[in-house]
Amino acid sequence: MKFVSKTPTMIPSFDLSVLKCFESIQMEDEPDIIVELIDLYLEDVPRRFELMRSAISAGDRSEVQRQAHTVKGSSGNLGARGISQICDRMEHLTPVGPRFSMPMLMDQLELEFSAVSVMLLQERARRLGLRC
Amino acid sequence: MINGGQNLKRILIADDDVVMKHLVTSIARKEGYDVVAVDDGREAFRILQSDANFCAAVFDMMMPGLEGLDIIRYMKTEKRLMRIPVMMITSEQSLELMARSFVAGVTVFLPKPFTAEKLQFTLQMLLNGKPAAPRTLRSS
Repeated sequence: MKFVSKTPTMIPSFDLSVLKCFESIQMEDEPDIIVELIDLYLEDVPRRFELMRSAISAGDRSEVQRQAHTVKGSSGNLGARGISQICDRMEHLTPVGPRFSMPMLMDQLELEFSAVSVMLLQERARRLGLRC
Repeated sequence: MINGGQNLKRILIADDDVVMKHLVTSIARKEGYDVVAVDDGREAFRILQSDANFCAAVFDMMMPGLEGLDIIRYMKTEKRLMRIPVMMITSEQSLELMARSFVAGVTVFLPKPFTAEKLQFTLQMLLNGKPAAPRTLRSS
């Protein structure tokens, strides 16, 4: 049975150990894989948020759900579970009788992303510092 | 070489998510495969029309344009492509979707989120338990 949280409470948002498990695929003489993943994620997600905001304004539900689905996947895989869970709610929000509206969830999503970004940037700086 | 031989170590990866594409590509390269990575289903379709030189394909289920299942259905209509095993990556947990995917020709599923080890294992399973020679890893 799929678990669906009934409240929009903030959960522990980021599990660094999930991201760090990809250290095992680091190859010799190549850039730090974790830094690469962080950079790609921090560049890609805000672009998708813009698309989601525009789609919400335009009432394009399927585009919101499609972008939320993508962000859910990458966030979950990098350990950003809070973002992944909010995206899951957005993806499966029904048009009839939603307890939380899309704009409200979008606000929550961006707030969560801001918190995760700080942690990711800290990890990025730490790794680059170690490699200098 | 147009059709894949026993020593073919080339994988086609299609994912519109740059993070997931980079992750899957990195893991496949670490496993010793050469990777052709594209951004969406249309690009994968375009490549497959003229190039069957792959030992495996890894597709995201949901992509703009052509979805993973659409490409697999096309592959199953072409003799030169139907031998290529396909891994489908998805965050959907629907049994109905999985059933439809297997009917379409998906060889294995990899649910998101996944670890590097899970993807490595699934890749090896996709290729009948014959992992390619790993590339040099960074010494710790």
